Amino acid sequence: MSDTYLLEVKNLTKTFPGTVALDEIDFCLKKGEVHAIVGENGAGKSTLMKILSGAYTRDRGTILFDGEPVDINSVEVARNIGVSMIYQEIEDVPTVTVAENIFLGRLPKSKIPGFLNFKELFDATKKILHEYNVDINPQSKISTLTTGERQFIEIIRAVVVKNAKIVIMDEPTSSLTKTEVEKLFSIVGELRKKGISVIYISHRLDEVMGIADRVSVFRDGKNRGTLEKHELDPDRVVSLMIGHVLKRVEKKSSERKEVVFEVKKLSVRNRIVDFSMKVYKGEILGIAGLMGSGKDELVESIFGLWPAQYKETYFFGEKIFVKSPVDALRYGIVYLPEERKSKALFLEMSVNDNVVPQWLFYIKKSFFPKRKNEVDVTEYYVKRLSIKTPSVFTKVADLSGGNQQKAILSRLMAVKPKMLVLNDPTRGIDVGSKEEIYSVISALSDEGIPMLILSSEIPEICKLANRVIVLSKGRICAEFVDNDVTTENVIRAAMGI
Amino acid sequence: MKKVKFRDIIGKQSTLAILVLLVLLLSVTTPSFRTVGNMVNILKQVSMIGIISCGMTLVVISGCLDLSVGSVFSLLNVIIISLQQRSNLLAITVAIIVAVLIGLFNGGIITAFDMNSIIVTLGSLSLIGGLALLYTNGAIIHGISDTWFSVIGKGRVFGIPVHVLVFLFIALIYQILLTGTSFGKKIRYVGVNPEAARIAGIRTGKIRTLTFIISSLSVAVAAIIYSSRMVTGSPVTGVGYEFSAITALVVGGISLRGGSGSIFGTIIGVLILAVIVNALTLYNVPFSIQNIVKGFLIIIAIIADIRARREIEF
Repeated sequence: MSDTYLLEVKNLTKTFPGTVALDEIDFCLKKGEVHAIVGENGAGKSTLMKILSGAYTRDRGTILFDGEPVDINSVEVARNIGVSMIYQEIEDVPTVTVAENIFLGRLPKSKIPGFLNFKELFDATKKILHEYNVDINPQSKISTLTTGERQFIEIIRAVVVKNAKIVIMDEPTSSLTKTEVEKLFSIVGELRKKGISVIYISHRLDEVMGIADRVSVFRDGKNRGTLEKHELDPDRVVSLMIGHVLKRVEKKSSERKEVVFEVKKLSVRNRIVDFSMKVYKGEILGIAGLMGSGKDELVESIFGLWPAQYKETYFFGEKIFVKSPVDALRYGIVYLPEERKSKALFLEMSVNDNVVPQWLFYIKKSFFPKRKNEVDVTEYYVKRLSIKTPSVFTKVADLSGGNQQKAILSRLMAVKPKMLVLNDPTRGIDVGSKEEIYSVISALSDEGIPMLILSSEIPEICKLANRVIVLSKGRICAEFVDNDVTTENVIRAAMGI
Repeated sequence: MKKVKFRDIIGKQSTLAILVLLVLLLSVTTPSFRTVGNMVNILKQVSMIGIISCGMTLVVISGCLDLSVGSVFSLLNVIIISLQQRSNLLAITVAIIVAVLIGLFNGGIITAFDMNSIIVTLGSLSLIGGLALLYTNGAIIHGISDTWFSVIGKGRVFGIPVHVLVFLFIALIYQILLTGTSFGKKIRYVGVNPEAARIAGIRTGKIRTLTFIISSLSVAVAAIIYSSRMVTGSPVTGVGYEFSAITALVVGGISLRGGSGSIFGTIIGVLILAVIVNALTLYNVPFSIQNIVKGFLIIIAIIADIRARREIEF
C-alpha cells in the first residue's frame, strides 16, 4: 500500500456556540483502506464526518483530496468528489423496487420516450447484487426488506450510482442482526478490493478489531493516535479513548440497605430480556450501554412510556402498576427525557409555563389555579437553580440550552419526587451548566432521593453514580459498585472486551 | 429585544385593528352600512357561527381540527325539529346527548388509533351528513312555532336578541375555561407539544376528546337557536359551516398548528368575516363571489400565520 493519502485533513477546527467540537484535528485516509474511528460521544467523530460529507462547513483548516485542496462547503461538492455517507435513517424510497432505488437518478431509459427499460434495470441490478454477494431480489419492494438489507442497498447505491470513492458508515451495525453484520463485513471487504476507502465509525471494539486496517482514536475534538493493524490492542485503544484519569468527585459510598424501587423480570419485545434490579435509598444508579443496548427502552418502560411485555415493579415494598406517565407521577416517579426540544419543552411558552405543569396538576390540583401561586413556585426554582432568565414570563425558547434544562429539572423537583429518572441530563449543554446540574443532582441525592441516570457520556455516569449497571443487547452484562465504578471498567464492559 | 416586543403588540392587536378599520371605512363609504338596524343584523348573523367557532377554538388550540361541525349541525337540526313536535325539552335533551356521543366518537377514534383529526372528522362529516339525510329521507321538516322554545331564537332582552346573549355568555365561559382553569392550561400544553405533555403526565387523549365534546355541544347550542328561529329542519342546513368556522379562526389569528389563540381572537375573526359578507351583500355582490373572497381570506390569513411563526423560530 502506498503512503500517498486519498484524503488528508489538517488542523481542522469547528466550533459550536459553547463548545469546540473539533480542535485542530488531523486525519489521513489511504486509498482502499478500511479506517475505523472510535471515541466517546462528543469526541468529534460525527462532526468530522458531517464536514466531510458537506453537512457542516469547517471554521479553519485544510482538506486535501488526492493531494489537491478542496473546499467542501455543500453536500453537492462532497458528492462530486466522491464522499458518500450512509446515514442511520436511510433515505430510500420504500414503495418502489430494489433496482429502482439503486439506480435512482440514473434509471436506464427505454427507446420510447418517458418509459423505463425495466429489463436492463433488473439485469444490471442482479449483476451488481451478485458482485457484492447480496441475495436480494431486484424486483422486491424496499419496504419488504430488513433494516440491514436496506443499508446494503444504500451502500451499493452510493458506490454504483454516486461513484463514491469514500464511503462513511456511522455505527452501521447498531440495528443489525448477527448474520447481517457478517454480510456487511463481506460487503466492506468487497469495497476494499475495489479500491474504495471506508471510514467506519463504531463503538464496538471487537468489530473494529476484526475489520479495520487502521484505527484512529478521537477524544475532545482531537485525533489521539492512529494505530496500524498490528498495533491494535484493546488496552491501548481504551487508554487513548479515556486519556488522563478523570478527577472523581468525592462520592460517599452509599449504604444500600433500604430498597426503594425494584423491578423484576422486565421484558420488552425485541429489546430487553428478563431484567431485574433494585434501587436503594440515597443511591445514584447509573445505567450504561451502547446504542441499541436497550437502556432507553428500559427507563421508558419503567416510566410507562414504552409498553413492556412483562414487568413487576415494587416501590417502597408495595407492588405498583405503571402503565402511563400519569401512574408514575402519582407514585412520585419523575422522568427527564433525553430529547429536550421534542419531548420536554413547550418552546412557545414562558419559563413559568414550562416549570409548573406537573406541580399544577399533581400537587396543587386546583381547577381554578391562581397565577400568583404558580409564579411563586417558578421564582423559587429560578433562584434555587440560578436559572438565567430576564423574567419568569420570558419565552423558554429564548434561554440557553443549560437554562432550559434547569427549567425542566425544576419541573421535576417541584412535585417533590420520590425517585428521579434522568435520561442524559446534560446533553448538548455547555460545561458551566453541566457542573451546575451535577451539583443539583448531588444535592437531591443528599436528601436521600434515589436516582437512575443514563448518559450518552460514560465518564459522566461514572462521575455521578455510586453503582453502574451495564446493559448489552438487552441484558445486564456487568455491574460495578463504589470504587469499581470507573470509566475504564464501564467502557470495557459496554464494548464487550 | 425591544423590536420584538413592539412587533408582538402589533401582532396581537392587528386583527382588532383590521376590524376597526374595516368598520370605519364602510361607515364612511356606505350609508346603509352604518345604520343601527344593519349593525344589529350583523350581530344576529354571527351568533350561530360564533358559537360553533368558539367550540372549534378549543379543538384547534389542542392541536386538532373538527371538520364534522357542518354535518353535526344538520343532524341535530332535523332531530330537534322532529322531536320538538312532541316535546321541546325532549328535543333539547336528545340533541345534547347526541352531541356528546359524536364528540366522544371523534375524540375517541383519534385517541385510540392515534389518527390525524382532519382525516377522522372528514370521515364523520360524511358519515353524520349521511345520517341526517337518512333521518328525514332528504325531506325538509317543520316544527311547531309559538311555544316557549321560540324565545331562544326570537326573544329579546332589553332589545338584544336572546341568542346574541347566549353567544356572548358562551364566549365568556370558554374564555374563562381557557385562561383561568387547569383544563384550559392542559389544552394549551397538549397543543404546543403533545409528546412533552404526555411525558409531563397530561392525559392528552382525554383532553382532546373533551375539546371535541365541547365542540359538538357548541354546535348543539347553535342548532337549538337555528331550529327555534326557523322552525324547520333540513338535512343540509349546516353544509359549509366547518369552512366558515375555520376561516373565522384563521382570520382571527388562531394558529392551526395548535397551542395559541384565544376566544377573543375568534370573535374578532367571526366579526371581520361577517362585516365583509355584509358589505358584499349591501353592494349586491353575488354569493359565488363571496365564496371566492372567503377563499382568498383564508389563504392570506394562513400565510400571515406561517410568517409570524417563522419569526418566532428564527
